Amino acid sequence: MTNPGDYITTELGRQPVIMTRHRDGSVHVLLNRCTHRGAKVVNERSGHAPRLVCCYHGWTYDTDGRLTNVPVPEGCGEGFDKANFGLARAPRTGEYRGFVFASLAATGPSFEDHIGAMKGNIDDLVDRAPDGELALDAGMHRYVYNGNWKLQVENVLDSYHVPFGHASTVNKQGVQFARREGDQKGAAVIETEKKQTATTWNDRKSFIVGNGHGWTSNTTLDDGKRSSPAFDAYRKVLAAKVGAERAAQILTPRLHNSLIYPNMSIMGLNIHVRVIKPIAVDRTEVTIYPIRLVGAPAAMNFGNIRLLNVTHSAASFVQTDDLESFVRTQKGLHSTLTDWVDISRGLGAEEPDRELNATRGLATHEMVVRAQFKAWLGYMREAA
Amino acid sequence: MRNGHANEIAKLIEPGRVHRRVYSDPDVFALEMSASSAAPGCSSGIRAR
Repeated sequence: MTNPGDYITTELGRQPVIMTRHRDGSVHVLLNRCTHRGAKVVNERSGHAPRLVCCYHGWTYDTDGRLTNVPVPEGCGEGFDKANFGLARAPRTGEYRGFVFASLAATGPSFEDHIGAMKGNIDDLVDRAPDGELALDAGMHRYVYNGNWKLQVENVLDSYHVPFGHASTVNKQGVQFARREGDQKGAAVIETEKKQTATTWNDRKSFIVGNGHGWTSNTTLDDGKRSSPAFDAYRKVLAAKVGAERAAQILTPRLHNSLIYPNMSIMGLNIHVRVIKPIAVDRTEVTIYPIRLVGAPAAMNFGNIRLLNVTHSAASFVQTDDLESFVRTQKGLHSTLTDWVDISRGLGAEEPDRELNATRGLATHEMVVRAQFKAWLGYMREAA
Repeated sequence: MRNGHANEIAKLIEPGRVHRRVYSDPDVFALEMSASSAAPGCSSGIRAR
């Protein structure tokens, strides 16, 4: 959305919204609902329009949401004032390094208080772009599964499942990650000879910082020793922009997945942004956006985007494993004789990480899930 | 549940386990959706540039 008139449509929860770039450069998050008879004003996922015209009766809005034209205005009731019929807007929005967050609640903690330490996780991704900017203009992977939205949210920080749920990718024969630009070998999360989870995987950590947010640390999937003509050229461009020392810091793997609760994640290993949208109690839409690192060589961006086809497309080796687990979980939870879902792994083993100002646990534990439900319960209590 | 009792919701969450209804009960889901406009902080990450 770089130019005035650019827009995208999405949903906040299940409420349709339009995000626009206005002529003055400002960003507006508007409810996608004509103030006349209620039709969605914009139907496309994204596009460019100097004004927004409802298809039903032609009510026309400026890109800041103001109602500018009503056909046959003499039919309007006495005292009708267009100023009172602009598109409703999300009460509060916040922006950080190009990411826009919107809230439908008029009051509550500020965006700054909500996002908190997770700004650093956004920095980790955006700083990888030599020009310090990302573009999500390389298409997307979008799919719907028959399961609750929280199953996907919990999964992004769940390291316990990886050696089992993704065995075909992370055992010695499964070398999907060897397809990553600059990598020479695949992952060895499972030690084939011992037929057990690699000890290095058990050492992996997860972190929580309040509000349901969290992340998992780097893994054996990424040893930070990538090299190929495209990757080396990218490293050189980045170093030219930020200096060799800073480039080395940026390219030293630190994070695996980050969750910005309740519905967005960033993956550092195989870079993408994921947005999770609830449709029904047992139906969820997931959109995975490939990342184009602005300023990086085209071959590097091509490699990043290609790898996402392998791991997270609807026909991938990794994401489809998870979808199967979500669907089976939703079916299993129909059982009424076992009411409780266990999330107790590592309960009481959490410890403070004073350097990161976070709480730390083993990534194969379930501290992050408990943290998500703590935040969830806070929101639900307010709504109940 | 739809008319909401905080205590009833709280009973679904225990220190090391959660009730299956948090994933499968349409009334819990309806409350989640109303929470997204009543509760602070719920957000959707979307990129502007």
